[in-house]
Amino acid sequence: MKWVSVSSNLAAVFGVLLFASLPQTSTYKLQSYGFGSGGTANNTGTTTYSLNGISGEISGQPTKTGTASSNSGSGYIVDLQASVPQLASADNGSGQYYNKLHFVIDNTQGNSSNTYPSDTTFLISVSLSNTLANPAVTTSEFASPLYLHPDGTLSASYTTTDYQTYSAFGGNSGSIIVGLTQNTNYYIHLKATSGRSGPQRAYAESGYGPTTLQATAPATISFGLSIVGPAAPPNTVVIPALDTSTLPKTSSQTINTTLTTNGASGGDVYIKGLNGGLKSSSTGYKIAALSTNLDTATEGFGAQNNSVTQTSGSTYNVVAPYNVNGCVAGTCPVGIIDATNRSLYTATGPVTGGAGVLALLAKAATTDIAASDYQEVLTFTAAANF
Amino acid sequence: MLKNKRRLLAAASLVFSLLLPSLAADAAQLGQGSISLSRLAASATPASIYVTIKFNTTAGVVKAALCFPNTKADGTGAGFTVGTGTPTVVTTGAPNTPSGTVALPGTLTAASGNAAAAGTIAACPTGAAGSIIISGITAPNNTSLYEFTVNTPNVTNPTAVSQYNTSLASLTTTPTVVDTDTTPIYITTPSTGDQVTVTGTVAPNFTFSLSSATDVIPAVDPNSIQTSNGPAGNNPVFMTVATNSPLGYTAYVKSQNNQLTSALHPGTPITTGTFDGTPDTITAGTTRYGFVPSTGTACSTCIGVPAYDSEFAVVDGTHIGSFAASGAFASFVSHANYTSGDQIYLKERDAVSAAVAQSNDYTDVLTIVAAGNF
Repeated sequence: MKWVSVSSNLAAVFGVLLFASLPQTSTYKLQSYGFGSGGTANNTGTTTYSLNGISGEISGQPTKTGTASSNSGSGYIVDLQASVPQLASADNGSGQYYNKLHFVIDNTQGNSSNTYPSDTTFLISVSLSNTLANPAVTTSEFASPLYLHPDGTLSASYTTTDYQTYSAFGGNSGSIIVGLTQNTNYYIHLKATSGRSGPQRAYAESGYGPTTLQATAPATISFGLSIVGPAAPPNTVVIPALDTSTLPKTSSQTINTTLTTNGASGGDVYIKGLNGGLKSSSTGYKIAALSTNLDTATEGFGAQNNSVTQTSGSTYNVVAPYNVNGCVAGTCPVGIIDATNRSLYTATGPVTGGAGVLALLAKAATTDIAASDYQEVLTFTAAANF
Repeated sequence: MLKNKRRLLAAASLVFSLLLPSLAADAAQLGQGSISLSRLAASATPASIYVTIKFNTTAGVVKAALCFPNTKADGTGAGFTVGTGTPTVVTTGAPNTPSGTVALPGTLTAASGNAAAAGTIAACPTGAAGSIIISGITAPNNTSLYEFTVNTPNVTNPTAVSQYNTSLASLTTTPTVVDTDTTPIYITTPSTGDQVTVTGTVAPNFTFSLSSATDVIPAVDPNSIQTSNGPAGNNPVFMTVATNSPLGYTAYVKSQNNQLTSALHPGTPITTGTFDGTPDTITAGTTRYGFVPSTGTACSTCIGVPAYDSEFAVVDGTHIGSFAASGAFASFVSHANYTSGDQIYLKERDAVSAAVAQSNDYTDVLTIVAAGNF
C-alpha cells in the first residue's frame, strides 16, 4: 500500500512536469490539481463540484449534490470543535426582574482578541437545580434541563432552531429568559456549535460550559398613604366651611399616595367612597359626588389630581376623570368618588416611587342643610400586575 | 478514515440529542395576574377581591385558585385567615385599569377554605393559610386578560404591615396545578392605613325679605269684610324666608297698637280680637281687625311646608288671627326644615260697625321678623 501511494504521487508529479495532461478515466476526469500546502481548493470545472485535495492524505469521497453551493470535504478533514462557551453575565435587572433573567454570552472564546465566528450558534440550558459535581467546569447536562427558545421561553425539549447566534442572542446587549418564578435560583450554561465559515469546516459541538447561578428577584409591591397639610386628626382631610359662595372649596390637606412595584405589567391605585358624597349623619343630607364642573354646578363633591410623578421606571399616570387640576373662571372640574371601585393611578410597567397628590373639592347649594358633620370615608387600595 | 468516523460519530451524537424525548416540566407561569383586596388595612376584612388573570396553558383549565399565605413574604409572622364559605363571583364592575380586561368565561362559583377544609389548599404553595377556588371556567384562551370579583371572600387580613405573597394558579378539574403566578399585595397599618376621612361643614344661611313696606285694606263699611291685597290692590304683600337650617325658621308678628287708629277720629279704633290660640270670627257690621297669613308660591327645594300657629291658622274669609297683647311678638308661621324660599302672604282683614267714624287714615304698624332655628 505504501508503494502504491508513493507511485501515485510520483505519477502525479510526472503528470504535471512531463506530460502536462490531466488524469482521466472513461468515467471521471480531474479538472485540475496542484501541489504544495493543500492542492487547489475550490477549483471547479462545473457548478456542482469542487475538490480539496492534498497530497499525502487519503481523500474522502467527493460529495455530489445538485446545488451550486455544495462542495466536498475530501482531503484533510478540518474537524473544528467550538470553544466551550460561557455567559459573560447574568442579572435580574438590579432587582426588578422577578419573572425573567437577563444574560450576555461571552463571545471572546476566553480572550478578547479571539471572538467566536459570527455564525457560531449557542444552545442555552437552564435548570432549577444543579446536581453536577463541579458546576464551574462541567460539560454535562443538567439533571432536568430546560432549553431556551428564540422567544425567550423555556421548555424541556429543543430543536435546531433553538441554536442561535451571538447576534441573535442580542450581542453584547444580551437577551432575556422569561417565564421564571420569582425569588428563585436558576442555573444556566450553554454549549456552542462552530460555524461553517470556510469550506473545510464542519459542524462540531462543544460540551456545556461552566454554570452561572442567578436568582430572579422577589416580586414586590409597596403602597403608602399620607395626609399632607395643616394639622388635622389622623387620616383626616378637612374641607373648609361651605357657604353661599359660588366658588368650590378645596380641601386644606392633600392625600398623597405612593406605589412601588416591579410588576411586569405595572400596578394600579384605586379609590372608593363609602357614602358617594359628603353626608351629614345628623341631617341625613348628602352633597353627592359627581364628575362635573363645580364652577357651574349647584353643588357637588369630587377630586382633582394636583400632581403625579415617579422616581424611575414606567410613567405613573392619573386616570380620568381625576386627571384634572385647578380651577379657573368658569371651569373647575372634579372626578366622582363613590361606592364604585375606580382607578386613580396606573403604571403599565415596573415603577419606583409612583406618587400622586390628590385634592378634594366641594360646593354647597344655599339649601344644603347646615351641619358640621358632613363626612365621607375614602378607601385607597393598590394592586400590582405580575 | 478515522477522522471521518469521528465526524460521523459527532453528527450521530447531535442527532441523538435532538431526538431525546421531552422531560416533564414544572408548572409554568401564568401570563399575568393580580389580586386586589378591597381593604388593605391590617386586620381588616375585605368585602371583595378583584382579580385579573391571563392564562398561559389553557388545555384542561377549568378552575383557578387564589392562595393566601400564612406568613409575610419574608417567611416571618402570621398571614391571612381564611374562613370556609361560598363567596359569590361576579364579572361586572371592573375598574378601568388594568385596561382591556374581559369577563372570565363560564358559570363561576367559588369556595373558600383553609387547611381544615380538606383539599382546599392543595392547589396552593406550601405555607398557604387558605384559598378561594373558582370553578366553572369555560374555554379560556391565553391572550385575554380576564377579570372577576369575589364578594364576601371570608378573608381577614394579616395583623402586621408587610408584603404578603398571595398567588394565583390555574387548575384542572382534579385539581392539578397547571400554571401559577405570585401576585404579592401590601398590607397597610391597622384600621385606617388605607382610609381617609373627609370632613366638611355647611355654614348656616338665612334670608328674609318683605315685598312691600305698606299695605292697604280696601274701604270697609258695616256691610262688608275687607282684606288687604297689597298697596296697589292687586298683589298681596308677602315675606320670603329661606334657610338651610335643618330646623327651619319661625316668623313673628307684632302690632304696634293692636288696632287700626285714625288720627282724625281716635275715639273709634278698629280693635283686634282675642289672642287665645284660636282664630276669631269676623262678621260684617262688627268691628274687628286681625292678621291673615297664608302661603304663596311654594318652596322649590325644601322639606315640608310652612305651618301656621293656631291663632293664625285661618282658612276662610270669615276669621282672623288676633295680635298678642301689649305689643308683644307672636309667632305665626314656622317651617320645620330647610327651604329654598317660602313665600308667605301677609294680609290684614277688618270689619266695622256703623259707629266707627268714617275716615281714610286708619293705620297700624306691623313688625314682621323671622329667625332660623339652628
